[in-house]
Amino acid sequence: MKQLLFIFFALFAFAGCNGDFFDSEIELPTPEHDPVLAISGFITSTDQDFIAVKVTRTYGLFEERPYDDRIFDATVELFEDDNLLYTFDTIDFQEANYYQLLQEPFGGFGKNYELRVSHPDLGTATAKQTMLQPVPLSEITFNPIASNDFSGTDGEFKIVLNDPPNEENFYELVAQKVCTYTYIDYYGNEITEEYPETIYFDMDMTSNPNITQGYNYEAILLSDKNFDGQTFTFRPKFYTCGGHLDQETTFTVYWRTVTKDYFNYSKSLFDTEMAQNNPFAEPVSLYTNVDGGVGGFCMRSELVYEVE
Amino acid sequence: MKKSVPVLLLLLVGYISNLSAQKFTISGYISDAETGEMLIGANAYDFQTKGGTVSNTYGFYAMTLAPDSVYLSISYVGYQPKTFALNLTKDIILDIQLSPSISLETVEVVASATGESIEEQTQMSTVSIPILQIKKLPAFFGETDILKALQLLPGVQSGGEGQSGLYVRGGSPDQNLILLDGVPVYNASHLFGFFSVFNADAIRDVNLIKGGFPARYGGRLSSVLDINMKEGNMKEFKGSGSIGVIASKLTLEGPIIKDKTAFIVSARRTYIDILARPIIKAGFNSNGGSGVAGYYFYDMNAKVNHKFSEKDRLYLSFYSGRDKFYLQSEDKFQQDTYLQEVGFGWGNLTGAMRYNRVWGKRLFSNTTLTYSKYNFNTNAKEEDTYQSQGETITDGFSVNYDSGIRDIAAKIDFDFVPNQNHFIRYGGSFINHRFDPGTFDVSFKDVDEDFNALFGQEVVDANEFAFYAEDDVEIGARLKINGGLHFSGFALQNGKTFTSLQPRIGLRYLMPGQTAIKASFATMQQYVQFLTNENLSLPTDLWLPTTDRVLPQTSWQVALGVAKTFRDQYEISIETYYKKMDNVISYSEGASFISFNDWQDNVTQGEGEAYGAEFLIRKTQGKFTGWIGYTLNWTWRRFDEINFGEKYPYKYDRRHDISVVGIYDFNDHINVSATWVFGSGNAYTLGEAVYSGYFPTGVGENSYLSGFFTQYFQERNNERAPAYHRFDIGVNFTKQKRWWKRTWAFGAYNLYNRNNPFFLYLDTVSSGNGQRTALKQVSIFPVIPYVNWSFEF
Repeated sequence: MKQLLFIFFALFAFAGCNGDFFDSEIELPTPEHDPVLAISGFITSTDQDFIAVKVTRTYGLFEERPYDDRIFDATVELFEDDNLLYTFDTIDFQEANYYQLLQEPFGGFGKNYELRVSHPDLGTATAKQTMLQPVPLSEITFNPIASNDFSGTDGEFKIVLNDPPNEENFYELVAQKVCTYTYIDYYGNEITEEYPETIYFDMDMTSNPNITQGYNYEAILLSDKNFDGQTFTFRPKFYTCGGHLDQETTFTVYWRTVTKDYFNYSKSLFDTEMAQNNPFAEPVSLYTNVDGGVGGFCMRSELVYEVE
Repeated sequence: MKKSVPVLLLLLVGYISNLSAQKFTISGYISDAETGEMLIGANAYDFQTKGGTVSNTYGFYAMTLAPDSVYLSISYVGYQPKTFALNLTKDIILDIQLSPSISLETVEVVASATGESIEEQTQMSTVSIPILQIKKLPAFFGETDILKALQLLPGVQSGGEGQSGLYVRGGSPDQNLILLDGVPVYNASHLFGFFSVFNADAIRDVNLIKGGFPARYGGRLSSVLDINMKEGNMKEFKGSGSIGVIASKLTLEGPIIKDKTAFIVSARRTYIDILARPIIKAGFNSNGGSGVAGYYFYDMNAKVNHKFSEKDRLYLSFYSGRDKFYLQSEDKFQQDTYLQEVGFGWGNLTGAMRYNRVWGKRLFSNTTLTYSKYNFNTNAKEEDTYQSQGETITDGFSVNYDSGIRDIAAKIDFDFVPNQNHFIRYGGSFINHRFDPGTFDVSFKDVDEDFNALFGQEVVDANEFAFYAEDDVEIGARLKINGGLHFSGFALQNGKTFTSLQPRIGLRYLMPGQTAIKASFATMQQYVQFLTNENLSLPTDLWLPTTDRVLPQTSWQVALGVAKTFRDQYEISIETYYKKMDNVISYSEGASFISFNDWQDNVTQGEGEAYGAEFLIRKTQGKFTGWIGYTLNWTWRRFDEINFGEKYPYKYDRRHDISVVGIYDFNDHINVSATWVFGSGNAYTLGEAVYSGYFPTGVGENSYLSGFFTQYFQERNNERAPAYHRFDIGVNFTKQKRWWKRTWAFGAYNLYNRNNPFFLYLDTVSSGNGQRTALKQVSIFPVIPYVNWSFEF
C-alpha cells in the first residue's frame, strides 16, 4: 500500500514538473504539394482597352513563397469558338503579367471562349466561358432617403428586371456618383473639384435573400434562383461620399450579366477572405473553373445606365 | 375504403378479445429488499409456459397466464433469484423483494440493465453499464463520469480529448435525447464538455439506445439516453460522499415514513475557485487594487417518492446544475475608482412529478409533468467614479446577454400486459418549448445622459406533441417482434404545423443453440435544432426551433445483428447498421457562431449518411469482468452549399474505434481497473496550397485586379488528425469500518502520456533567414494522476 502511494505521488510530482503540463505543442509532418498553374482572367464585353490575365503558380501551404509569384515563361492563348483569337504578350504589372490590346469593345455575345495557359514545367491549364447576352433592366430610378433613416443610407435605386425564364442567370450591379470636393487654395480661392466615386450598397441580405456579397466590395451579386422567369423588383440602398443627395444627382449604373463561374468565384473568394480572418469560421471551398490548375476565367456582359 | 373500416374494427376487437380471454394476471412490483429501490428490467419467468416478462422503469411487472399451476422465477442480475409455485385461479398481486447476492462471483455482474440475456431481448442496439461498474472504472481527474463510460462502448464516440459529448452512429450530440427521470436535459456538460452534469452518486441506472428505437421514444435522430435517478432508501438512513482532486460530493437518503416515503439528496461542487482565492486576491492586491476571480460548477439532485397505496405512487424529482465564471476588480487612482465585473454562467434546471397507478392487474400508467430549462448568461460592467467640480460622478456601461430554452411538458404512458405473449405500451405527450435565441441589455451612463436598450432576437414559442403505440409480441418460442408507430407534430407560432408518422419495428429470432438474430428499422424526426461550432461544447451553443426556412431533421435506420451468451458469462454481439439523415443542419461555409445576422442566414441543411459494424465481447461474471468493443464506421455529410454539393467525410468520421476495459476484483477490499481506447483521427480541413487569387474591382478605366494569397483545398475535411489513444488505470482500496466504509481511489488518466490532439492550427515559425507556415497540434491532457477519498454509511 505504501509503495503504491509512493509511486502515485512520484508520478504526480513528475507530471507537475513539466512547465507546459496542460498545454503542449508538437509540429506535425506536412503533406507534399505538386504545384499547378493559377490563373486570373476576366473579360468584360464593353469597357476594356485591353484584356489582362495574371498567371502564377500554387505553393504548398508549408512552402516558402516569393513575394512576386508571377510566371513569365508561359504561353497564354484565347480561343473563340475553337479558333485561336489572341496569343497574349507579357507585361510587368503587379496585377497582371499577360495582356492583349483591344481596338474596340470585346463584344462576343453568344460565343464560346477558351483560355489556355501552357507552361514547360507546370503543364497546361484551360478554362471555358460563354459571353452571355446582356439582360437589360426594365426600369431604374433613384430615390433619396431621409437623413433620419435608421440604416444611415443616403439613397436607393428602384430596379425592375424581366428575368429570362428556364435558365440560370446571375447579375452584378455597380454604380458611381460624381462627388464634389471644395477647398481653399494657397491664394484664398475656393476651388471645387469633381471626381467619380463608387457608391457602397447596404448589404443587408436578411431583407433580400436574392442578393449576396462577392469579392468586389462595391458590387451587389444576384442570383435568379428565387425569381427565375419573373419580373423582379428590388431596391438596393446605398451610402455615398457626400452624404446628402438631391434630385439633381447623376449616377452611372453598370448592370452586368455574369456567368455562373463569375458568380461562384466572386462569392467564394469573398467568403474565403472573410474566413481567413476569422479563426472560428467554417472552411470555405474556393471555387475554380480551371481544368489542370486553379483560379478563375470569367466573363461578364455589361450595360451602362445614366440615372438622375 | 368504407368497407375496409368495419373489417379493420372487427379485426381490432378480435385481436383485443383474443389477448385477454380466459386468463388471470400476476402483477406487482419488484424491489431491492435492502433499500426498497425498484428494480428495472427484473426478469419474471414461468417455467410451465416458458414465457416471461421484465419489470418496467418503475419496477412494475405483470404476467397474464391461462388458469393452471404456475412455477414462477423472479431474477435480477446481482440479486438472489426467488421462485414461487402458484395455482392460478384468480388475479394475484405479488410484490417481490430480492436480496443482493453475497457471493462476489455473482455480484460482479456486468450484464445489461435488463434482467434478460442479450439473446432474449427484442431490443437491439442498446448499451448500458451498471453504475457500480462505472464507479470502478478509472476516472478523469477522479470524477466518475457516466457519459465518458458510455463512450467506451461500440457505436459511441467522444468528440475529442476529454469531451463528454456522445457521437452515436455518425450522429451529432444534439441528436441524442438525454432524459433524466424522463425530463430532457439540453446541455449535459460542465466546463466546456470536460465533465458531464450527471453525478453518479445520485444515478440508479443508465440505458443508451442507438437504433431500433421503440415507438415510445421520439424527438431526436440518433440516440436515447435514459437516465434514472435513485429513488431513496425506503428502509434506513444512508449516506455517501467523496473528496476528490477538483470536486466533492455528498449524498443522503432515507425513509421519511418507513416503507412509504423516501428521499434522496445529492450535491457536488468543484472548489478550485475557493482553493485559489487567496492567491488570486494576492495577485490583485500586488497591483494596488482588489478583486476576486474564479470558476466553479455544481450539481444538485433531489427526489422524494411516496407510496399512497399498493396501486399509487408519486415521485418528485429535481435537478439543478450550473457553471459560473466570475471576475470582479476594483482599482483606485487618487480619488478615482475603477470597477470592473465580468461573468458568465450556464446551467440546467429540471423538475418532474410522476404519478404511477396500477389499473386492475394488467394496466399500469405513468403520468408525468416536467419542467426543463437551460440558459446561458454573460454580463460585463465597468464603472468609473471620480470627482469633478466638487461632485461625485459615475460613468460606465453594462451589457447583459441571455439565451436559452425552456420546456413545460405533460405526458402519459400506459403499459398493458394482456398475456405473456404481449407487452403493449401506448401514450402521448405535449411539450411547450420557449426558445430564447439571445437578447442583449445594454446601458451606458455618463455625465450628460443615460442610455438603456434591449435588443436581440425574439423569443419563440412552439408546441410539440406525440402519440405512440407499440407491442412486444412473442410468436412461438423463437420469434419476438416489437412493432409500433410514433406520430409527432410541431406547431409554430405562425400556425404552420409539421407532422410525421414514424413506423418502428424490431425483431428477434432465436436460432437453435440460443443464438439470436436481430433486425430493426426505425424512422425518427427532430424538431429542435442545435447551433454549435462542432469543436467544443460551448455555453453559447443555441437550441433553436424548426422554422419555415429550417425544416425538421429526419432519419431512418436499419440494423441487423447476432447475439449470443456463452457459458453464462460471455456475451458476444455483432451489429451492422445503415443510417440516413435528411435536413441535418450545419453552419454555412465561412459562417461562425460570432455573428449578428439572423441565425437562419448562417445555416444550411443537407444529408447525412452513416454505416458500419459494431463488435462487442463482454465478460459479465467472475472476479474479472470487462469487454472489448470495436466499431468500424463511415460517416458522410452532403450539403448543396458546402463543398460544391459533393459529399464529404463528417468531422467525426472515424474508421476504427476500439475500447478494451478490464476490472479485476482481488477481494472485497481491492479492485483494479484499466481501459485502453483507440480512435482513428478526426477529419479536418487543411488548405492544400496557396496562390494569389485575383478578381476585378472598380469600373471602367478604374477597373483593376485585386486579390490576396488564398488557401484552397479540393475537398472538405481532406485530412486526418493523428489517431487518438490512451491508457487509464485505477485502483480502489475499500475498508469496512465499524459504522461506515471508506474507499481510497488512485489512478492515472493517459498513463503513457500520449500527446493526443485537442486541436490543430497553422503557425508561422522562423526558418533559416525567413519564416514558414507550420502545422501544430495542441495537446492539453498529459498523464494526470488522481486520488479520491469516498465514504458510505
